[in-house]
Amino acid sequence: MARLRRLFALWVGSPAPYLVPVAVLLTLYHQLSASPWLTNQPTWAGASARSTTILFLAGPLAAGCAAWEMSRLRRAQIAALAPARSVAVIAAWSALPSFALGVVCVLTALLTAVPMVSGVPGSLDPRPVVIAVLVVAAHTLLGAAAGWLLSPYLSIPLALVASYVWHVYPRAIEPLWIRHLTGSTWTDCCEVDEMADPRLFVATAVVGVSAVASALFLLTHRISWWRGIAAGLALAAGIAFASTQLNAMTSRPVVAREGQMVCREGAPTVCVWPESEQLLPVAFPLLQNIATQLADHGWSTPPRAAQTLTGDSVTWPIYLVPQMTEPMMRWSVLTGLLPPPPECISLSGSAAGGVYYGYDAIGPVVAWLWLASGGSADSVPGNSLISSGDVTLAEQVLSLPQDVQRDWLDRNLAAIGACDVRPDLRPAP
Amino acid sequence: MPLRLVDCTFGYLARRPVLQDFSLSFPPGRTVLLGPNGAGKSTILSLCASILRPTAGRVTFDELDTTRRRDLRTYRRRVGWLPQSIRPISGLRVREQVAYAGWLKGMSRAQAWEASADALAKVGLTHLATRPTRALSGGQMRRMGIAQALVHDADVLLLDEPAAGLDPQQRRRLREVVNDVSATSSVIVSTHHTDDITDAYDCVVVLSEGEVRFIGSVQDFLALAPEASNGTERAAAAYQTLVGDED
Repeated sequence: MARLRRLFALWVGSPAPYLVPVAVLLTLYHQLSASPWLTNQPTWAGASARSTTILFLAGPLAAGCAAWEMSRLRRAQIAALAPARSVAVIAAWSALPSFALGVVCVLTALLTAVPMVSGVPGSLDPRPVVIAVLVVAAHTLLGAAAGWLLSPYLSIPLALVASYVWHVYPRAIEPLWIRHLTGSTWTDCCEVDEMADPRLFVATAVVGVSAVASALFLLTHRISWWRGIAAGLALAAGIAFASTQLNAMTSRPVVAREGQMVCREGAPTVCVWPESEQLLPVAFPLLQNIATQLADHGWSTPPRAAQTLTGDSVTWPIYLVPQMTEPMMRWSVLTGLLPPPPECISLSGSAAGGVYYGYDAIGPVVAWLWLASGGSADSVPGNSLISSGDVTLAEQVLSLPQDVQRDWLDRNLAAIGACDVRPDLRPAP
Repeated sequence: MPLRLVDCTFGYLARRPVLQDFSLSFPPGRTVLLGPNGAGKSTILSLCASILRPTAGRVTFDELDTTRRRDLRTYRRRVGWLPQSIRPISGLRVREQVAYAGWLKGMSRAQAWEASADALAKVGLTHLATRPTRALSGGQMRRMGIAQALVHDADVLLLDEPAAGLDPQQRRRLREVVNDVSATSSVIVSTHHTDDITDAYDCVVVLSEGEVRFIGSVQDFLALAPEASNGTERAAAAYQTLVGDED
């Protein structure tokens, strides 16, 4: 104990070690309860990206604690002791617990994603983790610089607030790509057929390194005007370079996933990503059966079913996760036959106007698909999309001639896939 | 090579330099820097400690120049420094703060920890090693500051008013420390108390208004006193002869 104390005495007065339990609890709460918008796709890319979701907490905590630490040394006037070590080294050592606090948050967030990819082939994508740690390091050092240069009454609140605002405010402003500068938007990656845009890694790494460089310019025994300017220029240059990489992106920093899917020929041919290959023995016969049953009702499914988010005339987008039961899988693949959401309710940031009426049609159409594909009325999954009335309506439609059913489907699918189109749910107009 | 100030100019206000083209070479051994308030003693020691940087001129020691960035780290490792004001680092105990000061001077953590025990023993603070620094009295804080200056075995030890706040017994102890350290290091001590002038020092430098009024041995300094004075009064009388009633 005495040996530990002599080596780490300076850290004993740091608030960071005492904040670890609170930070871990807050991280767990956020990750497990308060982040339903996070992707739940069982991909390693998505799981790895979870390490950046907590930066809005990790960054301010690390920056605030580092500011506290350096203001403690500033109050003690250690600069007047003529240290032989540079302020950067002094700051790095004294702010190490603050940095570790931020890293603990990042790793805790990452660990919460482990169950998501349990048993899924693949491995961690280190890039978002590296960026998260780099962002924490940058905020720690900038907080330390604030603590070194400013009064503690100013530096600690400034470090806390500035770091928090840096992480959350860009999400509220346009252009939408600005949010990617913060390094915390890996969260918006990745659906099953996506991967992080490689430019995101380069850009956020450059911003992180430039922020570290900026802090190092400020952590000096003798602050001078040129150091202040150099610090500003370093940060500005990093942000400027990153902007050139990011300015073509939308709110989601993703590109199409590279790599080969595993396919099994049939009608339809079923293609899945390698981590879902173990689902093929269940998914393949199910999809063949559904396609056959729907064909009997005059609905021809696309010739290829694939694990993608969006489909077209030849691709049937299917959503599969490892823990799915057969009814869940049936439900999931049937919803893939619905048209994609129109622009007026899209989250892609489009400013397209229009009113969406299609919600009312989703339940009856999915109920029709469920029944027509061989599902029984009493096995329809209970959820918010389908009511018992929808099932009754679908049963009525199914009793009609095939061309009438087809008309009913066409006009209601049109309402689901467009804005300003009202559904007409009457079985026979 | 001695510690030297060469043509140094420095002022806290741009148009009122405290030192103008000031040169001084400190001889090896024990030097006491004497002068009234505002004479420039602390400024000179701060320049020597590299806390302040001359606006013109140089401060050198063994080819090391404080105005050269590449020399500064090595220079600071070789110079021990007690500033006038010693502040506690909250959360640290006495030995920890002394060890931290050693680490700041470039020692490894383990070396600094070992050396801190010796430094505290030299200033008689071993019994307070585990006391929080915030709980120290002014005199104890001063002694802890001296231990901080001693901890890394510097080649030159700069002590700015080390006797301030010390009781007579501690002052005697300080003289012993200076005597011990001078066996291996040069020691430069500033004071404005003439009763600190004893044969514990090899050289006396008297400053006034940013200029050297006297530099020589203690005997030569005391010889400046009028014939009639004796004992500790001789130092005061000699000082009075050099600087008048500036205090």
